[in-house]
Amino acid sequence: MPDNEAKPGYARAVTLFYCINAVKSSIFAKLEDVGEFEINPVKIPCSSMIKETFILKALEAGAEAVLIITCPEDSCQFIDGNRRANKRVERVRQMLDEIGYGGWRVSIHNSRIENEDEICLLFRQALGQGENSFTAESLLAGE
Amino acid sequence: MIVAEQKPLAEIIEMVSPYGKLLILGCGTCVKTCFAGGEEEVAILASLLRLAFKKKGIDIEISELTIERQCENEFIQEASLAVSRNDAVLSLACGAGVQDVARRFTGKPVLPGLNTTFVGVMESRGLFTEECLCCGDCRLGLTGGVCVLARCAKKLSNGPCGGSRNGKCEVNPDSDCAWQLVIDRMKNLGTLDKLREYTPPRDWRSSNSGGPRKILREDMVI
Repeated sequence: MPDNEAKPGYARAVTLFYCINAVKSSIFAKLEDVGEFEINPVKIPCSSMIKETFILKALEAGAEAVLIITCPEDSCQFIDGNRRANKRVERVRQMLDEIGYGGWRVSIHNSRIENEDEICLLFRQALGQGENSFTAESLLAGE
Repeated sequence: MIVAEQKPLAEIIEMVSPYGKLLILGCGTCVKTCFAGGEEEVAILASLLRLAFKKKGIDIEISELTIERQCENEFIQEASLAVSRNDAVLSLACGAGVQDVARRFTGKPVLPGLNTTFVGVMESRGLFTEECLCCGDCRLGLTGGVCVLARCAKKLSNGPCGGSRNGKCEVNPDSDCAWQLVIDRMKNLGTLDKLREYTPPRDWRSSNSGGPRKILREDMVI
């Protein structure tokens, strides 16, 4: 079974890159109690710091999906950090689709997150997209 | 700079699939500037290939290295150890770089990861445009610093074709008419009258139609 697929009884691994201006760090302490996901949060001073390699390395390291949370559009304190992040995410998604790995694994969310429920919803949405289009069986079959 | 773009991933995957150990060799000069072959692009491609082969259940060991220039032996030598440890090299350099690396490591397959496209400039971030055809007989001094050979779709040397509209080319309306650029610039410089002067036909013997060109600088040969 490929590393990226959740094994029965295990939490689904998600890597989260988040702008410190978009997500309250206190959320993560509460998320530990949820247990549904194995979250690897990576805080960044601005989403413009996101590079394609960071996302791909996270997938290589075993993340089933990568979620990026940025400030809302037009409210980046570095002017266009979130626009840059959007472009890079789009490029990674296209490349992952091109190799058949599933661009759905990478998603970006441009709004401030205030509580753990919101973030859990985003994780479920991010992982849910794959359940219909890219299952463990299809991965194993090399489809 | 030499402008290149990465080959489609499917083509690269097919090309490298016979090899168990692959070195992705980047070039840190022209193709780095055009976001096709520097450290960053090497890392991205390496990750993508690892993921693609993992999905296929194929074991492949991929290593990464970027040298300053792949078209100069002194820099190529820095890759010797890495090349010797791998079954093949996927070069993210222009065609000259790929060939120079292949010449240096005769027993190793060296594969091109890029399509070398043109000699050009970065007009704005992310936009690269062709500016020079390397014709070997530069006439930029006569046309206000605008190369009509590279930038006119019809390669006209004696003035505009008459088909341009609003300063745009009739062949490709997204491109500026090269002759419009020449006239605007020479007007600006106050040298428009120079266009009336007779200039002899271009010397095409210096172009690449006679096979690969060579320049020998005797003063540099020891």
